[in-house]
Parts: sequence; structure tokens; C-alpha cells
Amino acid sequence: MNDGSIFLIGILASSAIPALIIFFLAEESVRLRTSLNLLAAVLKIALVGVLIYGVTEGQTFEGRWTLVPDIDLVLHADALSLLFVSLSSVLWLVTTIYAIGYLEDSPNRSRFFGFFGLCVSATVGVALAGNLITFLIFYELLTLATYPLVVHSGTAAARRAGRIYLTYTLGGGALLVAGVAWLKSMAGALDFTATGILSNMDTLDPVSLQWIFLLLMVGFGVKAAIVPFHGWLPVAMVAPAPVSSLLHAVAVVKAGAFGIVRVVYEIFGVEFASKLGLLLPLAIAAAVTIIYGSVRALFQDGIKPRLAYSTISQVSYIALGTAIAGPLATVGGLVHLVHQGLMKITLFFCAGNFAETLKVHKIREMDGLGQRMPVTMTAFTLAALGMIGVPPTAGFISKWYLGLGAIEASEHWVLWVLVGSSALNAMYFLPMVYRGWFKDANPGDWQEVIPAQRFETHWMLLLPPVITSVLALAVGIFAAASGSPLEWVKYIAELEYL
Amino acid sequence: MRISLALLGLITLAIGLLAPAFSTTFAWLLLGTTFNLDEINRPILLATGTAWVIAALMSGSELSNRVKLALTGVVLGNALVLASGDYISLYCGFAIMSLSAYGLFGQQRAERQASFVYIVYAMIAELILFAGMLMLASRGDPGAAIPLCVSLAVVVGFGVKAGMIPVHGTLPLTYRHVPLTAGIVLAGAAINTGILGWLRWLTDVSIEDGAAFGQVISILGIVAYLYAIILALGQRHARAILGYSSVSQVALIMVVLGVGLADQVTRSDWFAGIALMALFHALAKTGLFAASLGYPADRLAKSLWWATVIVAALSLAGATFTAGYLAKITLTQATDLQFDVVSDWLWLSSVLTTLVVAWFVVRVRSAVTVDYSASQTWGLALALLSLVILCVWAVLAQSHSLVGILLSLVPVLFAASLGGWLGKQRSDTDAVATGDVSTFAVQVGSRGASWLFDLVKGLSVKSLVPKSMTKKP
Repeated sequence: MNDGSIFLIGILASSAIPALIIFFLAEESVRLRTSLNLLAAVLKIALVGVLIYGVTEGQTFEGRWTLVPDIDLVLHADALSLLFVSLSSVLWLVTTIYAIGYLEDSPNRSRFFGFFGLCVSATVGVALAGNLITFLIFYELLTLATYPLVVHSGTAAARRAGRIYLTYTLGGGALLVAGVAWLKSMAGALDFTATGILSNMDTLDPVSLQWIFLLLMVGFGVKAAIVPFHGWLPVAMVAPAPVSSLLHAVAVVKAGAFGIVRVVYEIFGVEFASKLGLLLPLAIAAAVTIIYGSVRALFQDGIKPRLAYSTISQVSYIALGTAIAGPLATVGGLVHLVHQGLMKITLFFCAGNFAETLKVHKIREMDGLGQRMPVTMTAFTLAALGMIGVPPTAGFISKWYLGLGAIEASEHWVLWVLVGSSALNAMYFLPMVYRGWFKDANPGDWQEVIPAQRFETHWMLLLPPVITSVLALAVGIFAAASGSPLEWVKYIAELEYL
Repeated sequence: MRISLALLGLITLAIGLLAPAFSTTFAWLLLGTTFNLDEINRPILLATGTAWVIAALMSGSELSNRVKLALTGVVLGNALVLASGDYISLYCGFAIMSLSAYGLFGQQRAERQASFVYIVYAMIAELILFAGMLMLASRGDPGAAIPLCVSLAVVVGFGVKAGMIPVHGTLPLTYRHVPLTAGIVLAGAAINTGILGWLRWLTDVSIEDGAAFGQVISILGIVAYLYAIILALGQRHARAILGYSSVSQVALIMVVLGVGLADQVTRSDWFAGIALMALFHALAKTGLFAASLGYPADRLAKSLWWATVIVAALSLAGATFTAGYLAKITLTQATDLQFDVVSDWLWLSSVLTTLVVAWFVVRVRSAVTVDYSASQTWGLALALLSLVILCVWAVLAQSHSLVGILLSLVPVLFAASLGGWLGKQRSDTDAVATGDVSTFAVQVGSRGASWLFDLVKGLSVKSLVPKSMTKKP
């Protein structure tokens, strides 16, 4: 084992070991559990910071272990993995703070935070996986680690959501295993490599490759909630708000989208995939999902269900950017991985704050929230405007590059999808913003669960959306600054189109 | 709020008057932002600075915290549009300004309806501009002609803010339903962001079928002018009259815009002329909007009120010794070139424009008199001063004969006397609803959307299954 591999294991262990310890802590050990959670999250960010520095300085971080003959477990840090690992690490810290505040005084917190940590470890494993087999292992571990979080409350609705979640994700996982096994038997080692590995193998049967691509896309499409494999996501909304944040912004849907990115760019290679005619169907599926998710969001009267359908729509921007061959679309799709994460986690934090503080769950109950919870409502507004794509928020930057990429690739129809989606986003987000700021509260709509004192709600619930909304604005305003997600993604795109 | 707005106005004025032309780029801001000062935005900076100072002076205690916050967004967005020298920062400022302006509306029934029409148009404009900007920015060859749909997207997208017919309706609605201070900021400053958008985005591009497109825009301008005048005379609310007056003045700018679009070689000269026209119009409109506070009760304010209104009317009508005359010259040259005829119709435009101002005076005077505060009196004085300074500049810039000056007053006097006759009309009901076709389009559109929404909602799979089959045993 070299230093690089030990370091990568350290990053994985920084959340996994505390998670295992937390399982054995008594419910009353609040201070110890909180300290462990926060220390682990901060430590992971520090380690990821060192990793980013090392990679930019030209150091190689890779660990390779033989699982069975001809199958290696590979951890590797490259530009793409750093994008995802830094996103998940930063958002894990804010989600941890939020979850501590959210679950204060609720039962089974040790169990919750144990699985919470394992979930993040699996996500980091997905990000750092160096080949498709390793990716698959962590991807399935992620399914298993998130199930207990979905059913955490133990209600009938939660158990039902858990069953549906498992059915979808394990079904998708089975297809994924089949696709990976088939590809492995044809192409050998499946290490992620910039510009792909299959384009150099002339002897492979194109039809088989098309079928394999379909299996892989369906497998990843389940977690990425691409229509018609999206059904689990709105149902899983019964989970607590921190879990929703984790599912929608940090871990699960992002793992699916990240899988699509890895397979298209670093297994098939975007140009080879385009030559095989694989990208247009993917682009169409993504476009249909974008519009379908937005239309369904319009018809929801609950805050979280509306946000859930919004996620279905927004995550497909990543797949759409991946499916349009060209560096600009790649930039748009990949940067949305980060941007969507920041905006959507803000929205879920805010939805959680409304529910926890005032028992507000329905959109019609949002009237006058701006008066009672101005900070949360401001964060919600910023994130909603970002989702619509209003400049200078993060969402505008994503849509700008996706649009430029579509024109560059002469796929002008994508422009209509972007414009239509923005219009639909405006139609379902602006009424929520309007209710919050412009209407007066209706007596009886709210129950003051957490009374306003120094802050409008518990500070641990208030701080995370403030941080993430400011970040969502900052990555838009300073998009071209060095070290920004956009600049990082431009570097990745350069590698993929050598 | 008042002090910051006044300070920002003074700084803007100082930059417009004193700063040399410059261009500077901040690579780290947005996607690389350029700020510049040139002959296009300098006149508009002057108009904007003046409007902000006067708005601050005219401000009473009527502004709620929400309106103050919205006004801050409008002003910041406006400032960004003024300074920007690239597509993205201009679009960004435009979006911030457009969305913030929604907060300026009150929450009474009529105001809510107006704000709904406003936000629908604002969002449509944003989306049209987004698509147009993408097409403009992604041209592989900067010398290649942009398709007609892109030129149209830019003209229409910015036209919503500029009050271009047929997407003009939000302008009179907004003027009517926002507080006075906000109205001055919109009528004297924000309106020019739409015009600046045209000038900035279309200066250096080759336009497909530019000659025909330009001619259509010019013809539309003339038709729109007449249409706006008729609608202005159909209004009873003084600020709605000013809204349609702005629409009519922008229609005249469209005539010149069309000429500029038709010829890429001389376009920058025409566009510089448009910037000056925008300055003259904005200052006159700022003065009139300040006067819309009401007819003053005390003598000093009354004198200032009449002086401001008369000079503004003369300037809008293009009387020889006013700055409006210079605008009229540009307009004359443009119509001569575009339609190859001597522009006698401009005599008629002087009559009609003055008639609208006279109608405005009649409507303000029909309401109760208002006690102007000291700062509001200063606001009127400053509005008058800015118009007079422009007149002096215009007199120095052109040579005039006494006969010419007297002749230019004929249409104005004729229209003023017609206005006196109009004053006898006592009805308080608008002959045409403010917002006219725009309001109607949004009403029809929202009813259609609502119908579609209900239809789709009713078409769920569950609704197709007989209830008896879904009941639990």
C-alpha cells in the first residue's frame, strides 16, 4: 500500500469509523455523538482539501487491491472524482449540523447517525471508485445504507416508502450488475479513463455494446430518477428532511447521475458513444424527464412533493449535458451536479424548517412565512430563483452552458427544453415565493412548535440553509473565479475531449 | 433609503458628466464582466442619475419596507445594466431589475392584477432574451448575419421593458400602480434599460434581412405612436397617461431604431442619436412624473409645477429651443431615409404629444390639491433645472431664427387649446382599460392555462378507474 492509497482509505474511514462507533453509543450520549459527527465531517473536509491540493500539484492517489482473480477494487482520485467528493463532503457537514438540530429529542438517533455516516462513506466510495466494479460495490452499499434512513420514522408510510425504494433500487442494481458483468466479459478491466476505454477496442460487437449501455443507463437511471424509473423518489418524501436532503442533493440521485457521467465519458468515451448512436436516446430520455418532472411538480400541493418532482426534473440536466456531445454541454451538465446540490439542499432545509418550526407542509400554508421566518424564506427564494435559472444564481450558469453546448452541437431543440423548463420552474416556484412574501398569514395555518426567540427557529436549523444559499449565489456570481466549480469542470471537460 | 438613492444618483451623474470613456474587465465576476463608459451609456447615465436624485427628493413616507427592498433591487439592477459592456452582466442586471420591480406593487385587488400581468410579461421577456442571448453569444463567426428570429427576440425581449408596442402593456400598468418614488425610478431610469439593451446587443451584429426588418420596425413605430396617443387620451389616471406617453415616445425611438438596424455602416451613429433621444425623453418624463404627485397648493410649488410641465411638454413636442428639437432632427432624418419622404407628419406628432401632456395636466388638476413638502418642492425645482440646462445646451448646439422658434410653438399652442376642451370631459372611467391588449392577453392566457390545468388534473389514471373497483372490501 502506498501513501496515496492509505490517504484514500482515510477519507473513506473518516465517516465510516465514527459511524460504526455511533451505532454503539447510548441514546443519552448526545454530546459525544454530536462531537463525533461534527469532528468526522470536519476531518473529511480537511482530508479532501489536502487531496485536492495534492492532485493539483500533480500527485497520484490510487489504491488497487485484488478482490478475486481478474477483479480489482480500485480507489482513485481524479478531477471528476474530486468534484463529487468535495460536494458530498461539504454538504455532509451542513447536513450533519442540520440533522443534529432537526432530530433533537427524537428517538433512535444513534441508529440514524450511524447509517447517516455509512451513507456518506458509500457516496465517497462511489466518488473515488477507480473502476466500474468498485463503483458498483459502493453504489449497492449506498442503497443498503439509505434504506434504514428512509424508514427511520417507522410509520406505515415510511415502511411502504422503504419497500418501494428497495424494489426500485435493487431492481436497477440487478440490471446494473448484469450490464457490468457483460461488459467485463467483453472488455476486461473497466478502469475509468479520460476519453473512455472502449473506443480503442475495434473487435467489440456494437449491438452488444448498445444493449450493455441500455442496461447500465437503466441501472443508473433508477437512482437518477429518469422517467419512467422515478417512482420511488416522491414516495421517499416521507423520510425526515435531512434524509430528503441527502437523497436529493448529496448522495442517491447524484450517485445515479455520476454513474451516467462515468460510463459515458470514461468507459464508452463521449465521441464513441455518439458514434454508436447512444447519446440521442439518452438526451431524449433526459429531456422528457425534465419536462415531465416540472409538469408533475405543478400539480403538487405539498411542499416536499413539489420539491421531489423538481429534483426529478433538475437532475436530468446532468444527464442531458452528458448526452450532448461537446465540451460546453459537458461543462453545463457537470457543473449542475454541484449547483443543483447546493440549490436543492437549500430548498429541503427550508422545507424542513417550515415543517419543524410551524408545522407547515402544504403550499397553501406558506402565506406570510416571510414575515415570521424571513431568513429561511430568503434562502428559499434564492434557491428557487436559482432553479428557475435567474442570473446571477448558480442555476443560470448551468443553463447557460447547457444552452451553448446545445447550439454548439446543433441540437437546437434542447434550447426549447431549457426555455420550457425554466418557464415551468417559474410557474411552480414563483407562487410559493409569492405566498411567502406577499400574502398575509391565515390564522390557524401554523402551530408554533419552535417559538421565535433570538432567531426565527433553532440556530442549527437556520445556519445550514443560510450557508448553502449563500454558496449557491456565490458560485454564480464568482463563476469565473479560479477554483470555482465552473473552472474545475472546464478543466475536466478539457480532459474528456483531448 | 432616500439618502442612499440620492447619493447613488449624484455619483451616477458625476460619472456621466466627468468620467472619461473607459472599459475595464473583471475576469472573476460572473463569466467575465466588462464595465464601460461610452457615447451610448453616457447620456443614459445622466438621465438615470437625475431621475434617482429627483425620486429621492420626491419620496414621502409612503414606502413600506417591502417597497424599499424592491426599489433597492431595481436600482442595483439598473446600475448594473448601465455599466455593463457584455451580454451576461447586462442580462443579469436586467433580470434583477425586472424581478425586483414586482415588489413595488401594492396588494389591493387592482394592484395584484397589474402585478400579475407584469410578472408574466417580465418572465416571458427573460426567457426570450435568454434564448436570444445564447444565439448571439454562440455565433461561430462574429461576422455572420444573425437570424431574423434572434434580432426579433432581442427587440421584443427588451421591448417589454422599453414599452414597445405590442408588448407595451406593463408600462402604463406599472406607472399607475406603484408609489410615486418608484414610478419616477421606472419612468425616468428603468425604461432606458430596455433601450440600452437594444443598443448594446445589436450595435455590432450583422442582421439577416436587416433592411426589411428595420423597415418593419420603423413602420411599427409610426403605427405604435398613433395607437399609444389614442390610448393615452382614453385614460383618466394621470400616471397611466404618462405610461402611454412613454409608449408613444419609445415608438418614435423605434422609427430611428429601424433605420439603424437596416444599415450596419451608420448604425452606431443612429444608436448614439437614440441614446440622446432617450436622455431627453427620460428627463421630461421624470419632470412630469414628479408633477403627478398632484397640483400644488402653495404658490412657489405651483409656479415650479407649471414651469416644469410646460418645459417638459415643449421638449417632448420638439419645440425649437428645447432639447426635444434635436431629437426631432434625428427623427426627421430617420424618416426621410427610411421612407424617402419629407417628414411633414412630425408636425402632427408635436400636436398629438402636446395634447397628451395637456390631458395629463387636466387630469392632475381635476384631483384635490397637494401640499408639497420642502424636499418635494426641491424635487420639482431640480426637474425644471435639468430640463432648462438641456434647453440651454440645445440652443447653443443649434442656430435658430425667431420665426422658426415662433413657428415651432404653433402646434404646441394648438394642442394646448385642444387640451382645454378635453378638460370639459368629466367622466372618470377609462375609455380603454390600462394595459389594453397586454392585460387582455394575460387574462385569456391565464384562463386557458387554468382550464388546461384542471383538464390535466382530471385526467389522472385513478379517474379512469370506476370507484367501485377502488373501494376496499
